[in-house]
Amino acid sequence: MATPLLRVRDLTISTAQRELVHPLSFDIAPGERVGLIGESGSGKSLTSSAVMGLLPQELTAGGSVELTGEDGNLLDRSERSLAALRGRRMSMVFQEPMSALNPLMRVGDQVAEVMRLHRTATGDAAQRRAVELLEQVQLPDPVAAARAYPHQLSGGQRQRVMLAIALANSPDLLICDEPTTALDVTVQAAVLDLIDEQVRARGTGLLFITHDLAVVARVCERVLVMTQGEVVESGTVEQIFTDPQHEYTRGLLAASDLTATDEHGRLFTIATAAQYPGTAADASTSAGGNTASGGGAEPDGAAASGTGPESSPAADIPVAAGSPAVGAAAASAVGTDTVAEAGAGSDESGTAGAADLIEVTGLVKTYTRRAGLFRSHEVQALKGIDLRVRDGGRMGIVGESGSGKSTLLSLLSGLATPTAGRIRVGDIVVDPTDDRGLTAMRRDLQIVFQDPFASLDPRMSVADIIGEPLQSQGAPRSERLARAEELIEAVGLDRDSLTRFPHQFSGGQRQRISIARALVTRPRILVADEPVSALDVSVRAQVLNLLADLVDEYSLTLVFVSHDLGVVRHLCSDVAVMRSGEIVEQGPTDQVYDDPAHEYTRALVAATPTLQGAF
Amino acid sequence: MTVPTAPTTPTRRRARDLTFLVGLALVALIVLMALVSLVWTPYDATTPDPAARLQSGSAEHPMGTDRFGRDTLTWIMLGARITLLVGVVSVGIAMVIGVPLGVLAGMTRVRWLSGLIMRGNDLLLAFPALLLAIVFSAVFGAGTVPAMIAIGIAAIPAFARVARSGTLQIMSREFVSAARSANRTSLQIALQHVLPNIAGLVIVQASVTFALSVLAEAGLSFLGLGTQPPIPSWGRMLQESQQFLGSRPELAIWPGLFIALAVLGFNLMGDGLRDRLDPTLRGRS
Repeated sequence: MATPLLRVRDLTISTAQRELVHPLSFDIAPGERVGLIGESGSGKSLTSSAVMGLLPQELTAGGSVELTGEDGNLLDRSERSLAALRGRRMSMVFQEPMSALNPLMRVGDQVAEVMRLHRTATGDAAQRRAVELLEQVQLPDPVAAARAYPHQLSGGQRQRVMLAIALANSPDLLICDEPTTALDVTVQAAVLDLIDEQVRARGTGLLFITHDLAVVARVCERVLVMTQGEVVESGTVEQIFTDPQHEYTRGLLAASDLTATDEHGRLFTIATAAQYPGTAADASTSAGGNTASGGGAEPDGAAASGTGPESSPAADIPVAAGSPAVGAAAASAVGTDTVAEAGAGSDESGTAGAADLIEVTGLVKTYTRRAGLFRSHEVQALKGIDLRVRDGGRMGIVGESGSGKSTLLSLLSGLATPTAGRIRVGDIVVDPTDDRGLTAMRRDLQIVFQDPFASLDPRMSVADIIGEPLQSQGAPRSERLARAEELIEAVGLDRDSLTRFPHQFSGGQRQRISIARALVTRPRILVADEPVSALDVSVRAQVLNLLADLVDEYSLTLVFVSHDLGVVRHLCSDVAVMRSGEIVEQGPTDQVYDDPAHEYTRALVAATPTLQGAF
Repeated sequence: MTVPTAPTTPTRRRARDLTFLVGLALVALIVLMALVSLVWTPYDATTPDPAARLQSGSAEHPMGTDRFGRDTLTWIMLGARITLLVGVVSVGIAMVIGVPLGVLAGMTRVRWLSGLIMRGNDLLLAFPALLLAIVFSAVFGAGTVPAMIAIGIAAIPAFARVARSGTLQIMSREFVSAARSANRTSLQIALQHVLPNIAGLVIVQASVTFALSVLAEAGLSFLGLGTQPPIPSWGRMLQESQQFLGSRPELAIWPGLFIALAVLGFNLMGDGLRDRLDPTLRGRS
């Protein structure tokens, strides 16, 4: 660290009114891979933009940013001289590969452009070099890929192209801003490996920005943890993960760990993180035998060995009094037993075929996509789905984008008409043309949507939003308000929220409102479509805990759709794995995760980054 | 509405506010003139005063007089009434017919219905508004009412288009799916979710259309197809001033100026409203 590649000293970023990023300093040594971790609004992306000189005009940066080999402070440089550096000495990969590429330009030309601009290669040489680069980022058939337009490539391929552009001039510093957040897990794993490999091979310094701790552990050597415009902790990956000093880091770790729960079986949140034993404890036990994702240990055994080491460090914490901790440990043991028994009991009733609340048979959905005036081709979104959810069951549906899981949900809720097949919910056969049947079905089945910013009408007050499902049942205003009051408290918001409008709430709070709306008709079935994928890690844990509590309290049958295997494992008793319109595997969660039968499930489980697998 | 708006600096926001305020002030001026003219005007509009013909501006007649010795200020004030009336009625007609058509075209899943509405729209759009007005005055006789109706009908396509594109955007949002899964009917969704959310777009369109209809009425009256004598109208004042353009240009300048101010006012107000009504900007800035 004698001469760092990048030296950032007392960097501040502020608007005219207030400071968004408080003085922060860090170094990146040549070839060092540094992760910058934080949740939305923490200022991590602003920091990287400031380093690149890409801050929006209305923001001003103070302090100094120095790149070795360049004179003076980069922040004082003119746009023109910064432009000469960007793409040559430092370059950036953005989150959304589609909007970062020019849709009207061939991919090969876009790669060659960076070299032509900086005159590192010209004419045909640049074009040839572009193909070489595309080969290095492992695009299949790089010659053909160079002639393709961005829309002809998949998301993962586009991100590879972005990487080729960023690496074209062999920069000394590569900044990646959430490069894999928009990608599926299996693609994410491959892209992360690629970044790792390319950066190592070239000795490039890396600043990797992400909200995902597991991803950081996979790529980086050193981590900076950022919250509310401040770096609260920095250290090697191992230090941060095994011995976090700052309480926010602890909270983030605890909330990210979907395999750890407190004595009530709930996920840790930032607030309860003090009891979190840390990944170190988990890592050591997983070496001992509790291989959460590896060998085929019986679920019972895994649960038992899991609770042991989890509760013992809790007893070691001096703050919490000794005796309650012991009591809690005992309680937790009892808790897991009863859960296991309940699970076994309902399994039996399930096999007896007594009460399948939802039954989907031979479901097919084909979309006709019109291409041009006369041509059209058919897209099979679902190719014959069979699915049963027993009364009180918690069914997780896992799949990557394009697997058909969202189509399945919209058919299930009667929002679209199936091409073939049959859906039964309770005693009702779902048929979008049968209004009376739908009315009855929708009293029993409600949905929580994915995007908390799009699923609430910005023009309606929270009271009206929550009461809306009752309105179609003809409930009078007073009753709607009373129910809304009851539910807003059930989801942990105060009554004053009812008169406010959606934009006054954060993402997590909006998702609570969305859940309240879904429960207002007292449904028997709750369908959740990726309800936590748009939320920050710390908020995610809270919302998952809330969902779990409410499912118990209202004895709901849950259908939970997600791309995140960890979330489903935590919440669901059964799981169905979908790929390209088919269910490739289904069964009890533990069995599917610990002993996957289908190769796709195995690939999915292996590709999912986990905190435990970090070392 | 989901178009990401560039973060605005305080100076830019102040400039935007200024635009809106200028527009608002101009519109207020016209409205005020029309209101005052209901109870008071400097002179009687219809009584000629042969002694004071073709005067230029003076203490008694700030804007001068026309060839019959009628006070120009009085006529400008009374002309504001017709201008506003034409604007309100024609925008009203266009909005009441255009918006439901647009929402229907945006919401229906019957493909031929939305096709029919939008192609009919295209047809109307291809038909020159002035020709429509001439046909109307040929059939119903020239006058303010046929002119207003013709202007209104000609403006329907603009509203239908804006409403349809707004509706399509809203229909793709998750809260509409939520409403449908809460078993709301299409009409309820249209009234409760779609209309409030496209209201901003429609209001902006209304203020722009208002400006256009002011201009159209002046044009029609200038051609003698709009407001008929003895009702004062800015367009007719322009027409009557033609023969005195060489000697008394004020006679054309004053109504021309007020037509320009009215059009400018409504346009600026529309621009300002667009920024203010964007729901994503409300309450957050």
